[in-house]
Amino acid sequence: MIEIFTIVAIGFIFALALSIAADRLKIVMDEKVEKTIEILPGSNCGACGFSGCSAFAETLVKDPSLANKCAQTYTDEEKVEALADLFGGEIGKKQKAVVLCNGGINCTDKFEYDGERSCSIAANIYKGNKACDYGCLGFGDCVKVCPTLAIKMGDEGIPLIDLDKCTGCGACVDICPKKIILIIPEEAPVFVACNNPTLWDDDLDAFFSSIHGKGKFTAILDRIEAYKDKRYQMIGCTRCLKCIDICPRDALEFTISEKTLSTTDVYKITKTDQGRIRWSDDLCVYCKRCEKICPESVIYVEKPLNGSFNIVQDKCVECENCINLCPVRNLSFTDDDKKIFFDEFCIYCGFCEAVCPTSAITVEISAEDKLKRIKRIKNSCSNICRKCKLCINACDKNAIHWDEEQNLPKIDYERCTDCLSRACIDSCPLHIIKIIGEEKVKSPILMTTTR
Amino acid sequence: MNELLALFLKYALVNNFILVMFLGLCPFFGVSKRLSDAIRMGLSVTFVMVASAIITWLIANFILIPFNIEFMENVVFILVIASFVQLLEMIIRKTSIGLYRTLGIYLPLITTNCAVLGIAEINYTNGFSFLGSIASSLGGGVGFILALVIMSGLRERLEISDVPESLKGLPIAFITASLLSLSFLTFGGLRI
Repeated sequence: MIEIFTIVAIGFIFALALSIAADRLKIVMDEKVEKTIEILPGSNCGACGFSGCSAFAETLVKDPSLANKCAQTYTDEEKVEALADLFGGEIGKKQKAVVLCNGGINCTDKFEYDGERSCSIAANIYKGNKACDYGCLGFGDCVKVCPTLAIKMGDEGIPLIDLDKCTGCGACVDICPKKIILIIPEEAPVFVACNNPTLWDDDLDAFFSSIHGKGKFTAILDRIEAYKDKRYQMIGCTRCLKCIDICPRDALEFTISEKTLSTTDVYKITKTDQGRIRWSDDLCVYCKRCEKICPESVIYVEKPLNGSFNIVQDKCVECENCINLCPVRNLSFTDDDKKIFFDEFCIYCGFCEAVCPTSAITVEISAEDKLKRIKRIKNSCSNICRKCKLCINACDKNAIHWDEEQNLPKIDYERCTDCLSRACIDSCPLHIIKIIGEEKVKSPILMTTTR
Repeated sequence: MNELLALFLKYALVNNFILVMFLGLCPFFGVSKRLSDAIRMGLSVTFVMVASAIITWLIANFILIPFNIEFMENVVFILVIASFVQLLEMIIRKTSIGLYRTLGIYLPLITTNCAVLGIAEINYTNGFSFLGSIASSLGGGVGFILALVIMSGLRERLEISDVPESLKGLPIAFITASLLSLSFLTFGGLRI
């Protein structure tokens, strides 16, 4: 009996002391804040990004437009009305989230991931198992975090967002380790579903370093007397320097040995027997341009790869991607009806195949070269933005511009309104620009253009 | 006097609550990101520790033992601590709203901080005198501040250093804490 009495007595004394203290130490709180706290769910879920409902309420009083950050409140019409009454006027701006990735099952894996099915954990291991550094990992952290259950994982391995339920609270944006969920205005009609800014620089460097030393470059760079055509004659480099001008990689340079050169005439001497063409092992990609141009035929180049290339001219949309990006400038338009012309200097890197938005180009290498362990350029994802910029020209409202930092088309949502033609969607051969709400992944169409 | 100093040092260094006895690890990782927050959190915990040690000593010696109801100790101690934290929360909220926000959820969490209950239990089971309890709880609190301050200093350094991607954040903090704990074990050789 005594123990029960004791605990009750102690509890009572403390309760009394606390209530007196509560009265004495009362803080006069803003009436609006208090009312807002009452309206908010009070579950302190933290999805809004603030530390609990009371912290959010204080911010909300200052800026009512943040109301949609709390999805629990924003999906409840009564609460929205109550808040609107309290603040007098419109509260919150309905926004929506879109996933900036089109990959999913179209994206290849860098390695087999067998760990915990969580994006944030997977992303810690070599930036995730997807070959594309900007690709959706597809383990659905966003699905778990969404307070309104608006996100579902689609069949294609990309989360699908139910626009009726999404309030644009941004909880998924914060949780996504790849930062590929974007909050956009509700009235926005289209978005660009790719976030990879690659210009294939790294792939190209990997290719060049993998062919390093696998091709051959031999040249008679000195002038020597040799027996040729049944008589002795001088053969070798005549220092015409044509090869230096033609080399696409600046692998050849003309140097003059310092011994025979006085300092005064450094800049005057260009073609002289004292100088010599120097070939740089690191820069040469064995394209054979110098061999072709050499009037004396003293250069001999052996390509590291052999193969064939093919272009389906009907599929070409004349984006000029392949022409501009080819590392050996092997491609060009022919004068008549703009057909793509392949010269003989192809190094079979596969760059043009990778950058072609309509897959019009195929580059094959011969069977024996496949064993050479050369890292040819391949896209990690078949739905990656190829930077063809067709969408920019297609938009009749100039709402799409090229983001030079991101290397991606960027839609200006202030201009992108009242559009009936939706020309950007049709212009994108890969369907990377999508209508919001109809995000079902389409496979790239095979496009034919009429000329 | 020497005895009190010995008790103080014992719980500040030799039996450091966080790094040797592994009590109160939650705020150790939660509030040790910034030095200023760590000191404030440490001071609040110290205050609760000392105050609850005084009250629990009084209750234990004047209520529990005379009435022969020692088995109630846990319930009563928790009641005392919970009430005290409530009081502290009110005081902090009144005096410094900024500190109240920074401490955030960790302030109510002192209620369930095992270091606070731990010192009350230690005082009781070892039968320390009144001054002894104060000395030991003060030592525990100072040890708590010490651990938090060292840890937050290290973590502020870690923020700007080149940590491998997969170890960033808590993982490297855990490793640091374990090394820190190892080094604190050397105080075991202190002769008090």
